[in-house]
Amino acid sequence: MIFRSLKGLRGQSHKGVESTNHWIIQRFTSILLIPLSILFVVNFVRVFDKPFIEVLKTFQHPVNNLVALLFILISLWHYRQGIEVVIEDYVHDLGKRNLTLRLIGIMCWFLVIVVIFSFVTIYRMEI
Amino acid sequence: MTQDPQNRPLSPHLTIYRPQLNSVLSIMHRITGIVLFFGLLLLIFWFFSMSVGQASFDLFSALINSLIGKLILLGSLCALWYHFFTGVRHLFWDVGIGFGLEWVQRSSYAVLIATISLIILTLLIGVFTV
Ligand code: HEM
Ligand code: HEM
Repeated sequence: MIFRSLKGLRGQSHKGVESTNHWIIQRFTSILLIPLSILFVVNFVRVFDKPFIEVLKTFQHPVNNLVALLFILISLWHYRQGIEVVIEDYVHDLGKRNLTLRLIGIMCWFLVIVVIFSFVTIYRMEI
Repeated sequence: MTQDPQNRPLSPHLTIYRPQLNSVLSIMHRITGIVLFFGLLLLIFWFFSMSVGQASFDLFSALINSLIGKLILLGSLCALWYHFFTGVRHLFWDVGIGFGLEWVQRSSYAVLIATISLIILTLLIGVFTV
């Protein structure tokens, strides 16, 4: 279920259960983002204009690294759920709608790979 | 919907609809959600540039610390805290708290005040960290 588009919402085969799950998971990611966004932003505004070594050290700290990683991944997941609802509201042509949803899915997965790669590399970098 | 699909009532009539605080806040939640994606993208690039090494990080850092870069960051921050508080209000609505015109009106003001306060607070944290 995690990070997967809901087939029932993609076409005419509407299934109430899937829509309900979509709704529940959207609340779930929203609640997770409440503490994560506060923790991450407080970290970020303190270091974003600092030199490389200092920023690197900050995000090599396991807690900061994990908070930043989770904030970005869960934001991506939450964004995907949110934008699906927006597209379902505005794109009525089913062909175009499915294409847009699929492209957004591919983009999100690509970004997930980039993010995980970056964070593992940062964590293991030697100073 | 058993009605004739060509002939459904058109509501609201956007061209003659007077914008109200609550409707503006509602549509702004959606707009900030869409816009925040670009802030997120910037963040992902930032971490990616860091993972590539110092040279690419320094280049990207110079970009986001330019005037335009800082304005984009500030815009993302405002959008985030706005979306955060309207989002929290949505979650209260979802469990049935805060309905009724009076409460909605009050919480709209609360959302605006909370958003502005948190933006200022985060900026202060950023400025006063050595
Ligand atoms: C900071 C914590 C956040 C919280 C508490 C939060 C909360 C919420 C909630 C409760 C909804 C559902 C609103 C509804 O039912 O209409 C929502 C929708 C949405 N969120 Fe977030 N959100 C957060 C961060 C983000 C971020 C970082 C992004 C973008 C990357 C984002 C993008 C969206 C989008 C696109 C929607 C769909 C808007 C709509 O359907 O009108 N959110 N958010
Ligand atoms: C992002 C913000 C908004 C979202 C997510 C949203 C979503 C919705 C949804 C899902 C419905 C129910 C439609 C139905 O039952 O068929 C609805 C109805 C309605 N919306 Fe919005 N809306 C938003 C903003 C607005 C704004 C800005 C206005 C006014 C300018 C507006 C005016 C209305 C009205 C008057 C109805 C009732 C329509 C009817 O009963 O026929 N909404 N909205």
